[in-house]
Amino acid sequence: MKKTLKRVFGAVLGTTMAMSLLAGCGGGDGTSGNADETYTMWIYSGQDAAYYLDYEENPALQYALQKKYGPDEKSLAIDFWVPPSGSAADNYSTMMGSGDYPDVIDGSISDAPTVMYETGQIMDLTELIPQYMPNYMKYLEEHPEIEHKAYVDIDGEKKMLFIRTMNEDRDYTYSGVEYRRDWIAKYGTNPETGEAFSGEFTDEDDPDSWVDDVVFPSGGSDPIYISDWEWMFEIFDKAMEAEGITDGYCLSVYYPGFTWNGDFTSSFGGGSPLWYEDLDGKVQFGADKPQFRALMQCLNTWYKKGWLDQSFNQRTSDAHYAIDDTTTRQGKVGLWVGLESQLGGRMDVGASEYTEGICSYGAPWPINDVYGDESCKNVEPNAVEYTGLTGTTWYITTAAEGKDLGTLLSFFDYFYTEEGALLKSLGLSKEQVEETQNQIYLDNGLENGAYSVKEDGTYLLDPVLQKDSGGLAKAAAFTMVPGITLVSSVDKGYAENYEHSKALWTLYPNKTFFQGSDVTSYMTEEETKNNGNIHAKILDYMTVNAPNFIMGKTDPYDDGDWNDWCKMLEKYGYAKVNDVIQPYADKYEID
Amino acid sequence: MAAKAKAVKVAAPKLSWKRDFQRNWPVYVLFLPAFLYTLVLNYTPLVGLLMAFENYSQARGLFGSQWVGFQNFIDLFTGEEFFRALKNTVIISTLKCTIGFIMPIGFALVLSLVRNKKFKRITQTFSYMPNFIAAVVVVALVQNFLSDHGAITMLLAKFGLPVQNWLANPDVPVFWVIYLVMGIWQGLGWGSIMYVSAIATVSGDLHEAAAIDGATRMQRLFKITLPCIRPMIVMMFVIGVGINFIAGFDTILLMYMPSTYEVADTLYTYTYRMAFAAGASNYGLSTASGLFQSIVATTLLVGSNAISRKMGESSLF
Repeated sequence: MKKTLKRVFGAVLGTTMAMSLLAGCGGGDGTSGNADETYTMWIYSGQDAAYYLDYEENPALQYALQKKYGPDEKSLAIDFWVPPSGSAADNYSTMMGSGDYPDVIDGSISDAPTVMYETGQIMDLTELIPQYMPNYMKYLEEHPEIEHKAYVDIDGEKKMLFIRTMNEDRDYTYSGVEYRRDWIAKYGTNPETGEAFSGEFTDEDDPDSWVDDVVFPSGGSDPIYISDWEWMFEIFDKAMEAEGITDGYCLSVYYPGFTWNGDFTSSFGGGSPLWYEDLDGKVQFGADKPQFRALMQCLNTWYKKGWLDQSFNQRTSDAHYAIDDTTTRQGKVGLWVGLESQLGGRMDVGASEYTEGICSYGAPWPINDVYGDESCKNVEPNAVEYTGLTGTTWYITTAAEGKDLGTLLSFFDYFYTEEGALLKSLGLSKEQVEETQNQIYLDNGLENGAYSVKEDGTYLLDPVLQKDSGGLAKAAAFTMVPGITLVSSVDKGYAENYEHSKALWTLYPNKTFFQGSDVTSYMTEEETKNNGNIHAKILDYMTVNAPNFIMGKTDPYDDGDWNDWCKMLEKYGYAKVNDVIQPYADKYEID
Repeated sequence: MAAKAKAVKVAAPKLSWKRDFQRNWPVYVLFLPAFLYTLVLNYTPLVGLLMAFENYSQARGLFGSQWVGFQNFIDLFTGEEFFRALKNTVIISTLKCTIGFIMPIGFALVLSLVRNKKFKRITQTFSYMPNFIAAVVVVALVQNFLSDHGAITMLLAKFGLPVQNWLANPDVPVFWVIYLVMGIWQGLGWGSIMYVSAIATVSGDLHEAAAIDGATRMQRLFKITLPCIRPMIVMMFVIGVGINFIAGFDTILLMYMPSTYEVADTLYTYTYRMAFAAGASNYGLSTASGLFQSIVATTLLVGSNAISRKMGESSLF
């Protein structure tokens, strides 16, 4: 009896273990329920867990799924595949490498469309899109300046291999240069009259109510030139001394001294430290140009003067918009690249005594007027990464062959209508919330919907979302879908100061930086790979050796040291990349 | 009499596989998961070594990618920083195989001398604990302790050493010492388990007889305990020689920075940067590097095993 019992117990245990192992196999069918058609869709980033745990619970998506689509008026469901946070690239590689991919792929992280088409991973939509996506086609017709971005040239034939998200306008960016405006007002003096400045918050509860009479040496109320920055650094030094800050500094920079997309490098005559297209349409490599040398000379001087963070080269794991975040948020840094959530008085949250009364303002990348030769001076920065007029590409893969693509494409086409674009960009209206009684909206104070319609027909973001730092807005709208992203027709309720700071971050348009644009998106797999290998080697050399220039281990003013640097870069073969990219730069425009 | 003394070896009757399975099927069933695990997770992925000889493309797959022969190996060996990475790998592996290897043995021997059983158990338990802390957490602790405001930095400053972020110091042998000490701290207790077990099997009679003959505890330690566990030490060393060349470098990836590449960049980290950083996705180079490291490690393993056997010590195979 005892033996039998043991056997039975063992069998039950074994079965349970086997079942638990098998439970992980196979995919869930998500919201398929009673839908006529179910599709799978990979998105690189999903929901904010603070609001819901499954992207299928997205309120705007659920509203859209109530409708029927396609010529046969079918209902549909989507099963989202969302990678764990931070592992999207790995997840994409594994998925595509294994051949087990879904019907729709978010192209935020993907191979070039030409390569995916060539290898049979994605479908040719040239005939299907005009048939099932009239609103998308209408948008392209009405915007001839971006129409070409919906097509790919395959052996001289125009093909539609993807659906593109369209941006109504260029949107503000989320981060940029910020500086302690309150320090300038408190410790600075008018460069012309020598009189002390004054500045204060007019409403202590409003972080954007700062007013002052600050004037910079260049004559305006915003820092425009490198000389304005150096003037500020002298004031920051005074401020830190007066406030007893011993472990602060005037400015932080990204750990190698540059970001490869340009930004500060382009302040010294334009272009980026790696590859860019100059204003004459020629592909250039920036790190051996006088512009980059001027940047190194500038940072070397600032480092020697103690203005630059003396440990900048050690902050290798910090994001470019959150360098030495702790010290910055403690109010011990004068100028940094920060987030929109740090603008105005938003950092005055009692983190330290030095943030009491803090006011940070946004600034554009400066124009060099001090360092290098004349080619490096008085040129507006022109290599910056902003939102363009087109967004993510979306692919229908060969996994969807045999499925009803008319229904799927009609569903996507809905987001190119005004109603759909609102769901994608903002979320539900008041009427839609009343109709659906969506719990996420009701629980988070969005009873009146995500927006209201103003008299002029534009949309005003709900006050709850105006104060939101981003999580709720993303949870309320169905952003992860092709469609039109509304920009200019939305009033986000920004205060004047706040909007001015954000506008300064996008003061100079990008004219030369092409990474991620059509110029690099249509290269062949072989070209992309070879460029990537050279890129990796060059960047590796630069991240080790640029800090040496800045910290004075090598001298950027010395021709010998500079020539050694240039020779090494040449040896890594940057010219080969120039030659590969040039035909694409000739063919495609930088958006 | 002599013939009687000879042990008579009785061979077990040979059973057919079918018969053996019928009689011992529960054993086979128990073995099956381990067999499948090894087959699926250890042997099937070996097919991926083909990538080392291909211009591998995810889109084209393993059997559709372009065959490039030894080009990936040429790229690897002719890389500007390859020899720096190889040098650091050899140095760090050697440190792990020497100082890092001796420490757990010493710890096990010291433990064997402790008479208070409760104290011994508590010490052992505490020494195992760091092994269960994730590498990321250990590195975060090290970064905190050794930063320019860190506790250890402050302590060292009391002895006249400069206040600095020690992990950013490129001078020899700062990084190597930090990495070695971190490894010893994390692996000391866990690494000593085998030796503690081996020491426990040493006959108490030997110690008793030696004690009666007047041997001191230290003499017994060196004349009885150490010789008795020598086969275990040799076996662990042979295994360690191979493993130390290919394992444990992931923590370096978390700890190093461009200013310390000169002393901290290893084959593992160098390959990672060349293959996956800055938009590159060079699986071929990565696999070539992995294969190279495995071949070197296997050669070291076989070589040290052969030397051990030649010197009359025990060997793995």
